[in-house]
Amino acid sequence: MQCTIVPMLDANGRHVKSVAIRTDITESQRDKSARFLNDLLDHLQDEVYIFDIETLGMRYANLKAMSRCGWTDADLQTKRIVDANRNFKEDFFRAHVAPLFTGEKDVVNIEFTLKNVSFEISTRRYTGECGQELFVSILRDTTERKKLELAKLETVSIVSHELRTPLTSIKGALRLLNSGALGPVSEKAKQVLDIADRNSERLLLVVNDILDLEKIRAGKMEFDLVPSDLLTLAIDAVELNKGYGDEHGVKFEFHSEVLQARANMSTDRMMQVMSNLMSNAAKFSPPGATVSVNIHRHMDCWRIGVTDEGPGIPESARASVFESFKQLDNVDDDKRKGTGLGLTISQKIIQAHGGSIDFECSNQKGTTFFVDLPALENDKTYLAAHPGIAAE
Amino acid sequence: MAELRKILHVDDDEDIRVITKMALELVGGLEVYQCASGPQAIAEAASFAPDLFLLDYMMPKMNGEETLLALRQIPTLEDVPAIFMTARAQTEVADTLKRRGALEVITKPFDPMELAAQIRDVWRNQ
Repeated sequence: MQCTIVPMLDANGRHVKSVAIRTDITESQRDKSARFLNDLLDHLQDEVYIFDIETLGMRYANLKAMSRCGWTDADLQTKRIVDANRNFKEDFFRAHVAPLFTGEKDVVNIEFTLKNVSFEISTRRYTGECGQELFVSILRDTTERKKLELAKLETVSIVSHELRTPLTSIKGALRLLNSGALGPVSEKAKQVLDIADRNSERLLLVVNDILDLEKIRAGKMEFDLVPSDLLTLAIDAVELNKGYGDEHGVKFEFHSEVLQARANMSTDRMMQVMSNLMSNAAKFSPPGATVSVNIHRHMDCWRIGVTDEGPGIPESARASVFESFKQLDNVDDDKRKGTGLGLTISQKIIQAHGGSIDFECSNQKGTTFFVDLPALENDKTYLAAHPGIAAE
Repeated sequence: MAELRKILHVDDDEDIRVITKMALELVGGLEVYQCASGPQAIAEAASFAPDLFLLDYMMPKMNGEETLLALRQIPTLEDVPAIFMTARAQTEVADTLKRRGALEVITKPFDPMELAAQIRDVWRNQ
């Protein structure tokens, strides 16, 4: 509301009355702020596309988007988002945005490279003022960011090399001494050598993890996905991590509700995930505990669960469990400390497999970390024909 | 297949040369001749007549791959197999070296108690 007061004077210039004029300026303020937002969107460096959910008919494109597509304001009324690029596949787009309708995701992202230029498109649903259902897509040129990521990877790789070289000498020297190959070692000396060896190993793990994480971020980690059996992977993982379990007085136990669970995967990378989950489970379980590894069907996926007998994860820490360098506040024991990168790396690896990773706690005692990997198509057929197989 | 006895080891890092020598001679019972650079290896390799080259990949001036190419130009050494060692963990480096004739690529840090056995395995399976 805007109020204007006009003083009324008589012939001698004396104030006799005032006239107040009240004006409803809601509309004009709204128009002003709409113009401001429109202007802001129009001049963004990113391309903005707003279009109808059903028809995919364009409702708005900012200047940068119009310029790329060669559209004018008049064109916009007749265009659909599929006209923005001749390679646009409507079926692919509908499948890509499907998680926005199931509530699985609020935003879907896709990255691609065209003529040496890298792009990232984020799309989300938006309900307009009049209830119209819209998609808002933002296209960002990520070429510079990708170049920086690659340069960073190269730097990390060099730093990793520079750290691994002295570590080779340190670890080698400790191993030779500790083995007795250079002469007998007293019990006290052995204790000190073990400390040095354990800590140099920890340093090496941090270096390796940082390198892995940077490789994933830069899209340089190779995932050779081939059809493989998760049962074989889990059995091998139990065998491989047995020594680690022994160190913590923890037994690994495997059981499966199915005879075969095939998925497209990189066995090496999946083993890295299994080792991370199993070593965490062993670290956080009390001596004498059993860590259970199991496989069962979960909708269209195979679910691998690793359940410990540890203290659980407080609800307050839930959101940050998969963040880099996050360790639980109650971890004050050196033997439990890790690099703080293992779960972040595991999550990235699983995402590269088209799967997901999460965890659940029962009454704050014991935690199950589980990985869902899409079952192979012919396995889905098999499962459909055998509905009795442990479906949740 | 003749038994593996003599290894020419090239690495610019003196400490790693010490550890490797102990690992191969003391633990592994092999005879080792060491050089600190590619040019030194090229100058001295023929007189040692090694059965195998063990080359660090990243060395200043002349890297392991260039050193191997030059060593293979020496008539008596043209068929000597090579194993590389590298602190660079990228698989693409290992794949490239294997494609170019390396028997194996060993990642640093290595276990000095296992190194000789590891090299003998590769030697037997070549």
